Amino acid sequence: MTEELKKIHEKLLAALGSVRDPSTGMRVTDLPLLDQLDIDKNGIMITLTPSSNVCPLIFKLGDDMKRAAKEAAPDLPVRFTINNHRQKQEVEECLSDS
Amino acid sequence: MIIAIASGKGGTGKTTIATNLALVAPAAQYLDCDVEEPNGHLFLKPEIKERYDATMPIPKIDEELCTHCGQCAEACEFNALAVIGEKVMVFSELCHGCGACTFICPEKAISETNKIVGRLEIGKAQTVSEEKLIFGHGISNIGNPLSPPIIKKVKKLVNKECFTILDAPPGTSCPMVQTLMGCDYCLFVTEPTPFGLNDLELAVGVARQLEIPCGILINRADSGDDQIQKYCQREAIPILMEIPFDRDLAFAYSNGEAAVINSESLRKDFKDLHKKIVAGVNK
Amino acid sequence: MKELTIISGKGGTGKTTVTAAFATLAKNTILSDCDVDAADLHLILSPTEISSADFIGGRGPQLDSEKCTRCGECQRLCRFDAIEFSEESGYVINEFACDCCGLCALACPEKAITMADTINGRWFISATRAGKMVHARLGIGEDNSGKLVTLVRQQGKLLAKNEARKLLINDGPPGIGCPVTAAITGVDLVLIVTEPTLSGMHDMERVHGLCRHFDIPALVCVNRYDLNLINTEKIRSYCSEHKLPLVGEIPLDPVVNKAQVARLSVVEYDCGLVSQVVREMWSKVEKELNL
Repeated sequence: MTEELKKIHEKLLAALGSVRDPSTGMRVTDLPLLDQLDIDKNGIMITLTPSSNVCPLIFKLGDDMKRAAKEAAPDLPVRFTINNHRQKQEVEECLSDS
Repeated sequence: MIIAIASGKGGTGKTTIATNLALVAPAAQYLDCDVEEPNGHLFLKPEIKERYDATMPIPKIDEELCTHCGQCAEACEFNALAVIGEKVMVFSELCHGCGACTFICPEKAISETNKIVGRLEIGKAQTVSEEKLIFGHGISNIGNPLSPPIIKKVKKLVNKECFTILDAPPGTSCPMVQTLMGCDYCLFVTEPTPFGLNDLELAVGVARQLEIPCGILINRADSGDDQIQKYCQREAIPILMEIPFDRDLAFAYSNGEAAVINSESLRKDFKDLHKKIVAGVNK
Repeated sequence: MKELTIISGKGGTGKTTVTAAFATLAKNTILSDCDVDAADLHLILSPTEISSADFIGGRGPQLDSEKCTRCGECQRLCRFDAIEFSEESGYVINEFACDCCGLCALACPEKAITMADTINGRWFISATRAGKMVHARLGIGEDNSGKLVTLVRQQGKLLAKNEARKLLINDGPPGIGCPVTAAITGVDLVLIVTEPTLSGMHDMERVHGLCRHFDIPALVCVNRYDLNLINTEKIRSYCSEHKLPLVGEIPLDPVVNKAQVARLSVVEYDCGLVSQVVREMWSKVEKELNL
């Protein structure tokens, strides 16, 4: 990873850390939610395992995380991989930039 | 008069006491507010006269009028709406039916539609006398997350001319509180065990916050320790009745039989209980 | 890591008794008490607190009577009958009836009502003789129990991950509503503790329905099976019909209460046949979980 990307990665982590998981009220970084955060020149990939595998609050969580990511890195497209949720495909399609 | 039979801890005998009391009290009405797991009907065997859906209003978006401004999602405290790009999503399982989104929409693009969350049934049941008992219960649909809206509808069935018994759900949170609100008295059914005492203290806390007078019934009274009696003494809460563990009674219960049907002495005991509760309300 | 939740539908069938027993038999485990309304597991496991934090379940309305002009719009719009009026106090929000939806705050023309974070309870991580335990206390009459259950489970999973534990055992709440859903979705296995009473069987079927609704594999055990052998036979038939493994039939024995009073699980306190059956049940559950 280049220095620039490393800086953005750190900024991203800080931004995502302030997002609250609507299913518990706790900060994303205080829970086993964020599996992976990848960044390269083509964009950002957020991989997460939501608190519930059925609850539609994943849409809100994803949307909030996307807004936080956009604030930290406005020019990079954001994509999601959702682990273990019954609406995985719908969420990924809905939230990911094409 | 409206009486709640509650406990905190599940399985102490709320429904046993509520149904037996309903079968002997004059001008009685029994309403089962444990809408997730209603059991009163198993013992009272009512003849159901009316059945209807319990519904909740949920938002319906008119896509023609919607400008995707996102104010509805912003306003919803329960995150039941999400506006992602040009898509508005409504998650009815999160909706509380409050109407905030309908209110806030600047384009008046939100109307309401009724979602069926359960059903209500009303009827009459035979008692130990000639008089019939008025029966009502709510049944939450499997998968429906919120009980309070259905409990509210059950409570609307309260007949002010009657001695109404509300069979409360276990626990001490929203569903139990919803049941107790507005009652004249709460009878807590407990058991003489550490679990029983722990949960009783929490439940009495609710009654006190709601300023509802309460009394205690100790079920299976000889099967644990004496901590409940000591607690009641310390807190000056009257113990209205103690029922020892009786395997025959437990067996009858397991078959859905109400004990007062076949026992003259229990009929007398429950009539006395009724008198004590009425006295407790009138004090 | 595997996750097991113990539920019942009907309250009082013996969930916590079984959970405590499994906890004291299992190795390498984290425990959580998801019955946040009326938590009892701590009464057997006697936890020592390691850390705790407030649970902020949501927001609630605050009415500033200085700004209030008594227009009554809030009361008119409130669908929960949560706004009361009296000449002396003006408009007052009844916090027990209040659903915390915020409509009054949105509607108030004077902005006299604002929404602020509410502390609905507290959650704890504690040490017990059976392993670390996450538990919570929801405030009296509070809402958001589903959220607190999700939080407790999530913290349990985090602990299990950080400490490389193989199993998280959740003591579930009664009923079939939001808190139960929060305790069972995504787990590897559910154990339904039932009893041979009409109520117990009726409720078992409903909670089994909930498990099927969310596609969660389940096992059943019958507590106090000898109270009514005909009903126990009916439960066996139900299990067979629905391909539900029946992993134990625990006899009715007053010694179980003695164990509880002694603050010991039914495998730590000699409960005779009860102890034996519960140990056998645990072996079967371990096998089902592939531990």
